[in-house]
Amino acid sequence: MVNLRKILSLATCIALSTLIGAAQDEAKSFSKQMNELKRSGDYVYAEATASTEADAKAACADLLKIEITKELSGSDDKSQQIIKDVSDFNIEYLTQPRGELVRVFGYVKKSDIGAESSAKETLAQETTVAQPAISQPTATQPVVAEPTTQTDIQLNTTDQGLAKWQIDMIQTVAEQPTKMKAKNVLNRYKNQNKVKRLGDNTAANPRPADTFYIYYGADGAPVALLAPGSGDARYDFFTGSTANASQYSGLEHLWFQISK
Amino acid sequence: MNFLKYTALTLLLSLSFATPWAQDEVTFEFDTNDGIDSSIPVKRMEKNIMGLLTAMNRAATAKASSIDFTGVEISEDASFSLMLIWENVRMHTFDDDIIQKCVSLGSFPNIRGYEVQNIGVEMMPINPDEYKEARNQEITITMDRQGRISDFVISMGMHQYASMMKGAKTLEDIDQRQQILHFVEQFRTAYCEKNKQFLEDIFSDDALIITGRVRTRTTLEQGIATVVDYTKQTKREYLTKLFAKFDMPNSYINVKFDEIEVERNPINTDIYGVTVRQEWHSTGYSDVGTVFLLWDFTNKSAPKIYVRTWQPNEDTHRFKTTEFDI
Repeated sequence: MVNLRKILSLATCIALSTLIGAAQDEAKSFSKQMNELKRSGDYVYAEATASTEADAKAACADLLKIEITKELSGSDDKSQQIIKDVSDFNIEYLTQPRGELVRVFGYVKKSDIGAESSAKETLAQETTVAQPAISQPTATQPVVAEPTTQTDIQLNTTDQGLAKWQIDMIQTVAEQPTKMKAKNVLNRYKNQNKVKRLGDNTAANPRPADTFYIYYGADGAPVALLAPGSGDARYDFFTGSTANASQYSGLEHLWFQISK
Repeated sequence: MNFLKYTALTLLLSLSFATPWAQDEVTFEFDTNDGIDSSIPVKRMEKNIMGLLTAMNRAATAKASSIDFTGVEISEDASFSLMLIWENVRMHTFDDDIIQKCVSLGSFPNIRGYEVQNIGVEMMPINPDEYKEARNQEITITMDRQGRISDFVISMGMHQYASMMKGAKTLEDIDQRQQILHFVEQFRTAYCEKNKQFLEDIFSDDALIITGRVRTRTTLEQGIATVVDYTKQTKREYLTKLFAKFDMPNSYINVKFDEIEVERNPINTDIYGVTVRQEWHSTGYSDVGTVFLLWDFTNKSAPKIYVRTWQPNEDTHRFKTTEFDI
């Protein structure tokens, strides 16, 4: 009888400890998982807390529209219209009760936000539709045909320590006839995690020594593609020789950092 | 008896380790995966935020009446704001390992600095029976350009933030709304802190202010009825009366904003209308109503309020920016 009472006591103690421990583990597991996703840099994410899971999820989805738009726009272009719908994206959610509230963390892989996705087309459509009045040419201005892809640029990539996929990538960027087309290509590569960050002459570059620079002349065509470097003198893939970056000062340009 | 003793002891031991929140010491880092401007003092801000949250947690666990800010670069205003809150309620963060994005404040971050939002805290009121607010809140910490903590507010929840951003059309609109939110929270805090200078600066000298006062009236025909007295005032008239309330001995004011809606004027896109549900509590008076604020962001670093109206919640008319001629 005494032994049975002791066994029952011990069993109750273990059960109670397990229950309380499990609740704490669940909280830590949510935070750990969420932080791993944030730290990886591979995801676009948002979080919200509300009194019901449905409200928190809806708020989270609204915030994700903003974050996905920033990811798709690829730079500090503030004129980009916010996407209207996140249902095209493969968003996953983590949920955690927080007292009388519910916390929801929503995330989607950056590589899933591809250029081929309908959402990117939606972004492009919305941007175009938003500005028809401004972009309408007047009757006196000739309509200029959009330049087609240039194919006659051959980069000098020998001995530059680049992998084949990196060479193919910068070749594709250099072949684009305009800065805007090159930017779109770079955004696609960024969504595929092949480009870590990019911008143009309006965006501050946090790591100039680690980035390629592609400059565009007065006619809009690329004139130089400079390799990363710490000084003014950099390797120019167009000429195969060293050029001073300062000579291109004032020209439209893009900068981009390739992922390792 | 032994069974009960064992159970009680285990329960006590388990609960002593099973705090609803994390440990006191907090690690904090900014999510810089998408690149961050090299001029932003990231490490200094991270150190200050970690120091502040750890100090706050330790004070909450120890039930201390003050927070030891040693090692934390924090302005007098920010520590004053926090201690005002601390007089009535302690706070402890839910998480001990926090990663958040760094939010630049508006078009001129070099002037106004940076924010970290959405830090969840458990509220531990000193008088639980009198505490009417939610037990789970979120705080926003603001830093100046040098990375020192310059403000501390209990912010609206991210779901309300999302609601406020919902009507935004572009990323520029988002930035503008974030600025509005920042100023709306400062505006609300100014009442609670009796910050006369802020209120002098934020209202335009030509501001139109309509206040309402709710009272009850008893008549033979209608019995007890609620009546609202509206008063139209200039900035000077409004602030004179308000500051007189601030200066009354032992007076307190607590203002809460929620259900924030933002409307951008379609013609003059620097003009925004902000509608909030306001709970006003002051010595001897409380009411709940809807406040409309007409903001002019032409000078983005010093926006002005041109109109401030109040109406009871039962009045369903909602003011629009197009109703006013600035």
